[in-house]
Amino acid sequence: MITITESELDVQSFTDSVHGDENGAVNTFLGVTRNSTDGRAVIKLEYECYLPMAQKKLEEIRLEAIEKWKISSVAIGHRIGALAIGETSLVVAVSGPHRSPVFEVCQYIVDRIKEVVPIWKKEFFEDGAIWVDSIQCESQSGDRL
Amino acid sequence: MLFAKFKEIANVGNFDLDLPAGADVNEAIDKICLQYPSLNLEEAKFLISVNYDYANHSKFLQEGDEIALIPPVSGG
Repeated sequence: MITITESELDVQSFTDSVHGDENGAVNTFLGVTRNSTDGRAVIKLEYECYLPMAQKKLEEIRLEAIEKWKISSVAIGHRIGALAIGETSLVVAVSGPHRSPVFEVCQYIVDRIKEVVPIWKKEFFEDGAIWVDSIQCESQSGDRL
Repeated sequence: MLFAKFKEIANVGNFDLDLPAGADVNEAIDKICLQYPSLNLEEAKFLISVNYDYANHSKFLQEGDEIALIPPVSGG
């Protein structure tokens, strides 16, 4: 299950969607909008998305995770549009027979989302706004990805 | 296609590029530089996607391909 939406994320539905009788472990990670960056108060956020590519990259990450870690199921939800502080922007739910790979793959999926999925976050402060600039685009070659 | 910072600077999201047959991604970038110099792409950090996959600058383009400039992503 891959969902990109402007609506509030129903966390329980993502967790429920990965349940199965063969699973002994379900791990759900939430990314939540924070009220400060480097000591500056953030008053709201906006996420912009290149929708067809973001969906494609999330699906690739989902399939890669299932294949490499031999886990059962992955569900990913990302909120876009305007968000207030304290709202859920990301849900990653993972299930598998045993807990260890389920913990590990959850971290991998979140890291990978922050590297390759074309979604951009804009933070609004009292006195302006910035597009958050992650560190992944160190070269212009396009070769790394 | 332009997104986020680039979209704000150029004040445009989608536009058509006229390129000669056999053009590659580098030529597309050169054209975008000419069309939207305010993007200052020489100094900017970005990757390129062609039809929803990241692409090398030497990739040849076909009529109708969808190219996007992908500034550093920050989802999650």
